[in-house]
Parts: sequence; C-alpha cells; structure tokens
Amino acid sequence: MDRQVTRRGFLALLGGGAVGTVFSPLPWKLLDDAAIWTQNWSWLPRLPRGEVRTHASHCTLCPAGCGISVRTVGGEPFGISPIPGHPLSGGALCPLGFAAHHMAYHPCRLTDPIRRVRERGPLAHVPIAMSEAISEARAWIGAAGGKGAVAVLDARPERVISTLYRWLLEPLGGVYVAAPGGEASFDALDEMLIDPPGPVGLDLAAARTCLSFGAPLLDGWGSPGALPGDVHIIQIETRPSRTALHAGRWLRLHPGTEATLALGIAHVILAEGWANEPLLRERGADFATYRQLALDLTPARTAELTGIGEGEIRAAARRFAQEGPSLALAGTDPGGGPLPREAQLAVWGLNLLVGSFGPPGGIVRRRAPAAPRRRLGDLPDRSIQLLLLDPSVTEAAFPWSLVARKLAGDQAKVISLSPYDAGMALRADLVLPAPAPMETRDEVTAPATAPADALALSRPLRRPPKGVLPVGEMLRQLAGEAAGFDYEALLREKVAAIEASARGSVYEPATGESTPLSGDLTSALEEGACWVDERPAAWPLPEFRLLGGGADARERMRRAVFERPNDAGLVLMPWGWRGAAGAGALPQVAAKLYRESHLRGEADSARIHPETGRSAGLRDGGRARLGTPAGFREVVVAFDAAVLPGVIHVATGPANSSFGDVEPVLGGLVDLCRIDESGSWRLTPVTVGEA
Amino acid sequence: MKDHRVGNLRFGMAIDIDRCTGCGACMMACAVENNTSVPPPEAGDRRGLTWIRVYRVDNGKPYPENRTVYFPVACQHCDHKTPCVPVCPQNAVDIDPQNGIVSTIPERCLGCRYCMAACPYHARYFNWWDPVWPKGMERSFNPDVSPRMRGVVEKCNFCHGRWQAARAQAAAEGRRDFREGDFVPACVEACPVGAMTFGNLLDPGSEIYRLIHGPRAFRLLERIGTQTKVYYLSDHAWVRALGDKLPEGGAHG
Repeated sequence: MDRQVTRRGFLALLGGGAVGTVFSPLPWKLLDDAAIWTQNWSWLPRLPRGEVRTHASHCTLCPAGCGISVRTVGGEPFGISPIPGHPLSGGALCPLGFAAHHMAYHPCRLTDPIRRVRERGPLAHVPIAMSEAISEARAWIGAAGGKGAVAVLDARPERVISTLYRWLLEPLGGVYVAAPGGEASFDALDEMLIDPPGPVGLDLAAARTCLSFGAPLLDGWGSPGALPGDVHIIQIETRPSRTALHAGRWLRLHPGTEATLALGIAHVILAEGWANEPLLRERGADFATYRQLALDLTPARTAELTGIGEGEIRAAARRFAQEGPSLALAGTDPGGGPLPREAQLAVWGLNLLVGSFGPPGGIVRRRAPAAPRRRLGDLPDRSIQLLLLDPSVTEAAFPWSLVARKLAGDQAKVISLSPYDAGMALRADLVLPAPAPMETRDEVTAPATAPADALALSRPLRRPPKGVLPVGEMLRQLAGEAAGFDYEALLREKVAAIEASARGSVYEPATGESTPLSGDLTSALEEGACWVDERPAAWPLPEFRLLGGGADARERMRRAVFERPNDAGLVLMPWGWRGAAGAGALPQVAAKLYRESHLRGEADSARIHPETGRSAGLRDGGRARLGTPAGFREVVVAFDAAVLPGVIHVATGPANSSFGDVEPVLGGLVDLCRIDESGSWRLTPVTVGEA
Repeated sequence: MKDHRVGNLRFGMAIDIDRCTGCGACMMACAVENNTSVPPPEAGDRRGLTWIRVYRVDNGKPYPENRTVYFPVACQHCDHKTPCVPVCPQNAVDIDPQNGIVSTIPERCLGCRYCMAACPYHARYFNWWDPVWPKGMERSFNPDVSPRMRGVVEKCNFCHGRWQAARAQAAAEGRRDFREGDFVPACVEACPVGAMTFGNLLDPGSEIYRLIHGPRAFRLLERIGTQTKVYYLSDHAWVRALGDKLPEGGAHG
C-alpha cells in the first residue's frame, strides 16, 4: 500500500484539522484563558479583611445631622445605612451620605498644610510642615490689627468649635460671621419681630399646608426623609425643580416676583376675611400700611405681574388660610442664593396673617439662645485683613466676590481649615488639613430650620492620616496653647449642662425608642444616641413690623411688588442641591449622578425652553456660550419644555467634563452672577450664543 | 421552554414612580455596596457602570400640562425566556431556580457582550477599563463583594452578598423559609421616600404581593413576555404607557 504523503493529502489534513478544531472546545478555552490572562493584574484591589462591626453615628457632611449605621471591617468603615426612625433624619440619608467614608481617599485630600506660592487657584500651593504653618498663621493673626480685622466664616454656627472660634477672636476684636446661603434665611424674620423671642424653627412635620417660595424641600432641605408625606406642598418657583414636579401644586412664577405673589396672596386672605385683623392691628406697628399695600395689589394685577392665573392665586390663598396649620417658607436654593429682603419679608409676613407664629405646625420658638453672629453683607467692605474659613464653608455655594469685597485688598490673608485642596481652599493663602468625615469626634446640632434643638456625635471610626489634627487642636495651637482651649472639655461641659437641665428626650438607635432624658447622656451619645430638646410652651404673638425697619420700608416694598424686574432679554438662574452645590470635593462615586444618569440638570448644561433656544439660534445638545459682565462659560444646551421661556437654568457644582479629575477647578457658575443690593444672586441678565 | 422554577420563592421589587423624587440615593448605595468602580471622565453616559440607573422622563407637554417622573431601571430579572441566559457561550449567566435571581459569573465571562445585545432593558454594563480607585480606597470596600475586572459584563443581582448573609443567618436560626425583611437590596434600604419594596412575589401575605396585584402595577416591555420581576407603580395612565416604550439612549457599547 502506497503511504506516500501527497500535497493534496497534506492540505486536506490541515484543512480538516482546522475545521475540526473550530468544533472542539480548544478555541473557546484559548479565548477564555486569554480573556482571563489579560483581565487580571496584580494591581487589581483585594478585599479588606478583619472583624466586621456596626456602629451608630451621625453624618457631618451637611447640617442635617442624619443618623447613620456604619459597618466597619478591620476598623475601616465600608458601608453606611440610614437609621430608621431617627428623630433628625426620619430614617433617610442623601446620596452623598452613602459614600461619606470614601471622602478620606479623595484625590484632593490633604495630609499636610499647604501654602500659596503663586496666583490663587489649582496647583497654587506647596506643602509645608505643620509647625511652620501654625507659626505663620499665628504671625498673620498677630499682624492683623484693629477691630474687625480678623474674621471667621462658619456654616454650622452652634457647635463647641464655634465657641472656640469666638474665644480666638475675642482678644483680637475679630468678628464671627455665619456663612450666607443655607436652606431658609431667617434674617428678614428677625428684622420683622420688634422683640424677637430667640431662635425660631419650622414645625413642618405638624403642618398641613406649606406654601414654599422656592424652598428645596426635596432637593436638600434637611434630611431627605425629614419631610412628612401628608403635608400639602404648594411650590412657588420658576424652575421645574424636583420639589416643584412632586408638589401638590406647582405655581411657576416669573423670575423675581416672589414678593408680588406673596402680597397678592395676602390680598386674598385680607379681602376674604381670613386674618385676625384686630390682633394684627394691635401687635403690628405697620399693619395698616401693609394692609393698604396688599389691598392695592388686586389678584388681576398679581396675575399680570407674576404670570400665575388669578384662580390659582385665590385657590392657593384659600388653601393656605383654611387648611392649617400652615407655613409659608422663604426658601433658599443652595446654589441660587437667598430671596431678596423684601420677598423674604412678604413671605414670612403671610405666617403672621394666618396665626402661624407659635402653634405647632408653624414657626416655633427654640429654647437655647442663639450665639451672636454677624452677616457677611453687614461687614464694611475691605475691612478683613485675615479670614479664617471653617471646614463647613467648603460645602456652601456662594460667589467668591461676596467674600472678596470684604477683604482688605491683596494684602489680606485667607486661612482655610479644609480636608481637601478644593473649593474655598483654592482661594486660601494657607490651608491647614482638617479631618475627613468619621476621622474625629464631631458634634451634630439641629439644623437651623429644625423645630427643636438637638445634640448628637459623629464617632471617630477611622484613624486620620499622620499630620492631620482635629480642628479644636489646631485652634488651640493658633491661640498659642492658651488655657481653656480644650475641645473635649468644652463638649463635656455642654453635655453636662443638658444633663443638668433634665429636659428633652434621648433617642437610642439600639432600641429605636426615645425616652425622657435621665442618667448618663455622655455615654449614650458615645453610643450613637441623639438628644432632642422639648418644645417650649405657647408663644404669644410678639410685636412686629410687616414691612421691616427703615424710614423707606413702605416705598421699598412697593417698588419690589409693583415693578416687574428686568423683563427684557434672557435671565440666568443658577441652582444646586445641598452638598453638591459648591465646587468642593464630592465622593468619587457621586460621578454616577453626573455622568451616568438623567438625574440632574447637569452642571455644564443649560436647561432652556425649546422656543427660547431656537430663537437664540441654539440646538438641543449643541454647545452655547453664556456671557455676563463677570465673564463667560461654555455649556451644553438641553431643551426642556417645563422651563419658563426667557430663562436659563444652570446647575452649580462640578462640571460633567471635569468631575472626577484630580485637578479641581477654581470658581464656578455662581461667579458669573450679579449680586444685588440685598446680597442675592438669583437673577442675572445673560447673553447666549452658539459656541 | 422548560419551566425552571422551583419552590415558592421569587424575589422581586416594586418601585412607586409617583413617589420617586429622583434623588439618586439608590444609585449611590448600589455603587458603594457592590464596589462598583468609577470609570474615567471620558466614559460618558454609555460606558459607565450603573447597576441601577435613574432616567428622567416627561410627557413632553409645556407648562402647566408638563409632568416629569423618574424611572429607576436595574436588571429586571426576567422570569420567562430570560434573554441574556441562552445567548451566553460561557454559561456565565444564570437564573437561580430557587429564587429567580438572574446573576452573572464574571470569572466565566469572556466579554463577548451577547447578553448586552440581548437585554431589552439596557441593564447590563461592560467593564471597559481596569477597575481603579483612589489610592488606599480598597480599604473601604465591602468585604462581601469582589470587584470585577476589565472585559467582563456585570449587572444588578439584588445584592447577592446580602442574600447569602441572610440565608446563613436563617440557617443559624434553624429556619428554612424566607421571612419578609430578612434582607433587602441596598437600593431599597437607601430610598429615602420608601418608593421601593422588595420581597417574595409569590407570598400572598407580603406587601409586594399586594402591590403588584393592584391596579397601579405595570412592567417594562410587558408585551415581549419576559415576565420581569421588577414592577412599577403609578396612578397615571401616561406613566404606565411608558412601560411599553424603550428607554432613551439606545443600546450600550
């Protein structure tokens, strides 16, 4: 038999072998192995090991003070859950709170002090030793001479740390300043009351009707779970915010006409006899003037000025007056700034008309006296030679120009206590590294809008990096290690004073129950408990001025109500949600909110009505250039039929394109905005063109 | 097709669209719980990793008729003709006959993405990049969930790590049954307004059973017969009508 291998036979064997191999597991195995070999590398992270434990604590990312349950592995936090039924948060937590433990590893994290060596902005700082930084800061503090030359800006003013700031300022004649912004401004309310009874809060949980003038009730108002489901919200707001979209009723008014609508509602309440006029006349120094102004503003005129139908105005007023307890809120968007003064006066005044001062479900008094503080706007321009920024300030969103105009020129020094080289720290001459969340014991007090005082602790659950000092210790060193600068001792004193008062109740996360305060509060707080003060007794209606102080109060209100603001051209209205509104550091996984979902009007996109956009020559998804006298910004155009024609809404916060980059960006959208005489930056005339 | 179902346990979820405020807490909680990596900025909104993703949808009408809702969309855990299962050449996609959870085995996946093409809900995500976190952050990982590698597909598995822990706990207590509340996925626990309900779809005494048999319940793309185990709830007809429309954004990849 001839066994000679022919060329044809050889090729047939090769072909047959190749075809056979395809139908064998070999190629799949090779493909699979190749995939696995190329997918797994030594740098892929391994899972942590160690004992798993759960700790009750509180979140300190914002002033809401949500109760959290933190899971740790080997002493390192790895998971955060809300505590159901917590008195401050109602069992909820905001998106950022779920990743608070990641903040310690943020790329912008500081572990050493840094000093500015070139123009303010990213990469302007170099690291220095802590001893050198403290010496330099003390030298600057010592060199800043004169009353009011040193100032502290703090966004969480009722803490023991705030007391230390005041002690630091006292011998220097310095000023303690509460940061602007926040969710509701009580400044105008303080001005209305002739003899204010002390700090007030809002009893939203017991209210049945809420007339919210832009308050971000579902966009960062306290804890997201703090809003009860049975309050009927009438949201009065230009922007189609989440609160507006989910409110019982949304009234989309023309920008800047909040004062007009508030007084228009007052007209209906007064004209239809829903107000207790004899009492208002007795307690209100200017009630007659206010009444006449309101009655001059007919619903038809209000409708013309605000763009809201007459029927809607009457319906809102009747619901507010009849379905009590009712609350009218002069709200504040964290990125959009406070309402102008006259609008705040007009809105808070509605509560006086329907008797919402004092009773449950209204504006209630809190027991603890408020510590003295100044408003940034009240300080003389160019008066501050040295400004100290508390870590809480990085989360606020307000134009830097508000601060810059108060600084004494280029010679003024700014010291920031910040865990990150981002946000406000980029403006600082010296940054002292502060602990990240969960690295030190921190104090949690009730948010400014809460109906009662509260105290809880955030527990230290991970060790801070070497070189990072607690803020109290930094202040002690800045004060030259003066006697009494002992944060822990002061905190113990504060707790002891509450214990001595034997007032209020203590919520124990282990049992989920609140019991009257008795026994050792310190130990309870260490275990994650939360003390809540009891409500004060009934509050008699104080004397008030509905139009605020000043000889020209009536004329100012008349102008604010009857003159329609800037009708021509486009208006820029910035907005943001709390925690994410600033240009500061955010948890890395928050990128998902920006890049991978349809949740936000993204930070670099402008929402605009399709007709307005087309008339400006823009197209949906295209790029546009926004211009104001303060500068330009490029944005992506997003057409939205719910937006009022003539208005452009842009979110503050990190831009989609830059989020997640290590290099932070100096300044943000709010720096384009115009600041009006009352310190508001809600409305800015803007030009727009294709980029 | 042979019925793969065994026993009387089918995990499912009901999401009340009328209550969802679109805050994104579910997305964040999911990413933290499952050690989901953060893709680089150039990932855009198509190539990221979002096991649960919230879509903003409106009715397209101008104010005052305009209405907007938020749709959290994760893997729908199809119970019938599960499209991603038969297309996988590696047997890396599996439906648990005991409880109906559809899961992916990343170690078997070779990255062909047939399952992504087959999924009508765009609920599967491909790891385009090596999973990279800031230095030291691996110390804050959930120790119960392994991070996935580049080149594999991943998706929601109803927080399988939590299910395993709950099952171990039940075994330690000498129980063989599942009780409501034994475990919930991270997204359900995170929802601040209680819009998400999780439980056994077959238990007539459960809250989810009551919800999915009510007039407000609907499912996504019900017409294709996948019998998904994620239900949506709404009072509004226009929202319920959205269930038969494909989500915006098209296919991945």
